[in-house]
Amino acid sequence: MIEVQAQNLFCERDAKVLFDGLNFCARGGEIWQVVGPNGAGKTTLLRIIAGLFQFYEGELGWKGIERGANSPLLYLGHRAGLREELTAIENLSWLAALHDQSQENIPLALEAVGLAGYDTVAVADMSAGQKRRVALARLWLPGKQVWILDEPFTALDKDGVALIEQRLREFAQEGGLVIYTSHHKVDATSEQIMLGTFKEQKQ
Amino acid sequence: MSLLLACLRREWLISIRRPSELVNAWFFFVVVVSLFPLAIAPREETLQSMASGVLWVAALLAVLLSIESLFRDDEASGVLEQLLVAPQEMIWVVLAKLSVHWLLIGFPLVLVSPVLAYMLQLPPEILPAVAYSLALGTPSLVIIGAIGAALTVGLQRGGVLLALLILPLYVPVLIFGAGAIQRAMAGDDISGVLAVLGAILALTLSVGPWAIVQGLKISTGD
Amino acid sequence: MSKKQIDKQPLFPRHFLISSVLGLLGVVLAFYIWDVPLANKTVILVASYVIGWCFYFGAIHRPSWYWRTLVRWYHQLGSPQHFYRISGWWLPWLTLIAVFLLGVGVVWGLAFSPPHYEQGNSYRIIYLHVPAASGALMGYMAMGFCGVVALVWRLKMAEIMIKAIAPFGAVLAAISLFSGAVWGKPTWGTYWVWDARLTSMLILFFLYLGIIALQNAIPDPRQAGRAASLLAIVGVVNVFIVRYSVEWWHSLHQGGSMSLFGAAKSQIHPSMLWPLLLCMFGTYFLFAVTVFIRARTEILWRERRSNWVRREVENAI
Repeated sequence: MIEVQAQNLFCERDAKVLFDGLNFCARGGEIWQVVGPNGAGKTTLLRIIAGLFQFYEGELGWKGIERGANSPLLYLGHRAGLREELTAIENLSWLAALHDQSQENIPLALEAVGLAGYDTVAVADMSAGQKRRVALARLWLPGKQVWILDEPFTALDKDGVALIEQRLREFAQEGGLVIYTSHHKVDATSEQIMLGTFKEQKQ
Repeated sequence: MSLLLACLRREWLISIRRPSELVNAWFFFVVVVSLFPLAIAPREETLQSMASGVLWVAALLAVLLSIESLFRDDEASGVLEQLLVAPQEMIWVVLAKLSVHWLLIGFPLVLVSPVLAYMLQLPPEILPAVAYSLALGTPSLVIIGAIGAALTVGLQRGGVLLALLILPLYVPVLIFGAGAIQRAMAGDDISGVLAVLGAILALTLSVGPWAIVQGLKISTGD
Repeated sequence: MSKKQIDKQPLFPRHFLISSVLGLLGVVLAFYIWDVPLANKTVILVASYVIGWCFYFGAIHRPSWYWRTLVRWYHQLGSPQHFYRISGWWLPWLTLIAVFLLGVGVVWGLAFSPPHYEQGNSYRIIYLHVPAASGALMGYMAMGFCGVVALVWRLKMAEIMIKAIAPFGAVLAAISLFSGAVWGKPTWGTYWVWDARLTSMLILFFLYLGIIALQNAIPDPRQAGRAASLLAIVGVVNVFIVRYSVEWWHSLHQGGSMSLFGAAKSQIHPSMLWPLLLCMFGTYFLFAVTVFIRARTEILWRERRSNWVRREVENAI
């Protein structure tokens, strides 16, 4: 069973305290939504969980997975992580090589997000929604147990949102853990981390 | 190993699909070198005495200008974050980037340098020395420049800052690179100087990629 | 450790004796091979052998003490609050020492030491030039050291130290460049020559500026500190390489004319050497004072939300 536990997280950026004394414990099979107003530190929290940002205090502990050798963590940032010059397949196959994932599933994944037949189109020539779909196609590549998604629903149309919601629920049923930021609630049962309730202390 | 190949292929594709940046760097080198004879009296002995410095400073600036974009687009598109969360060693990706960058920016400079050296009135028997010194020196320039590019990636107005950080670090390569050409012109054996350039390359190649990885981690918040 | 435990092992175990002999052989070998003045190598080699011997001896009989001391230092040095308290005690004394050394050294050097037989009174700028140059160099070395500590052990204090050292180091490098130019005019007939020392000092100055610029360009203080650490390490390597690569060129400058250990053999007369040494150590202490002051302000700013800073400020008001 995967578990990520945060104890007493404190983070400050640009002389502003984002959160102080933040606690949560997320387990496999759950969907966690990080909510809060703009600038509340949602992205920073996700980056901390993904191990991208080290300037915080407090404890962040993983159980059930080993960070490193074959990291079962998928992080999709606000920026899609795709190079405009490359096609969808080229982008995804490089990312798959980077993450020790098999190349075979890439065409299937692209088909799943409705981008079959876009083999020769550079990402630069795609619309914003299509770019987002290419990035989200990685959700169909197996081998990951934790998904950390920063605003996955931006620029998606209604069908796209439904598709991704469906995929997130499937993944949670298979025992995976999803942590995402959005103003959109995927599931009535999903847990929430509220940010932005902490006011800056001024002397 | 397959990752290294995948990275090499990716960098290659990205670079050749955006040829303007490559051409700009080559063109910059050629234009800067050909401006000097126009600015100074084009007498043979004046040009000869300046040639080593002109060639090397122009090559150095061409590499410096091109190196700024090494990580810029990867940072802007979020690829850098993907690199940092990936379980694979980042050093392969960095090595792939450096090699492709040198192959497409540094190596053409080496190829064109004998022609420019001839335009600067250097005698034909010196031309191999020019190419050798640049061939051994430009990889070091790329690696050292990449350290600065890694530290300044994601900063606004990073360009001028990059020059301020990197140019002092280029001094040893510049001294020995231009020194090799000067010694060749004096009729001395240049194998010793080339060996020093090779030693600097070995040093930058062994320590540089590590420093670049650290720099990238620091500038993305690690 | 109790007496019983010590008795368990012999006072001089075999590996200790073997290492002592090997170390002695190494020292003798270095004594013959190493090409530096006799006084220098005698002092350095004998001192390092004795210190190493004592360290090894202690490590055999009191291993835990070393470890405990190291751990204590690590925690104390890593804690800004602790540094703030300690430096508060030291600061007045350091200031006193700096003022005393610099005062005596400058007055002695400028007013009482004899004029140079060739350069007359113009040589007296050495009392400004040499301390500034060596201070700038030492400062950069210290930044490189702090850089390693900051990157490897992630100590906040090391990052703060780099930020505190850089400005005064840059000022010292500028002073040494300027005074060198002023001194060069009457001595060599030109303000500037491209020799190893001047060039490497110029590059050192640029490296200082680079560190300050990088630190100002990055908004997050921790990130800025770590970036500056990496640059400082790369810069230290570069300073050495620049130094030797310019020496490869022919040099116009006079060779090193002073050494701390071999005063008897050094070419500078004692009546000039002593005030110079006073000025140099005075500059080091002045450097320490400015670094402490800057580090303390930086600590107060970074820890402004913590309770101890609030108490500290309330007490001050």
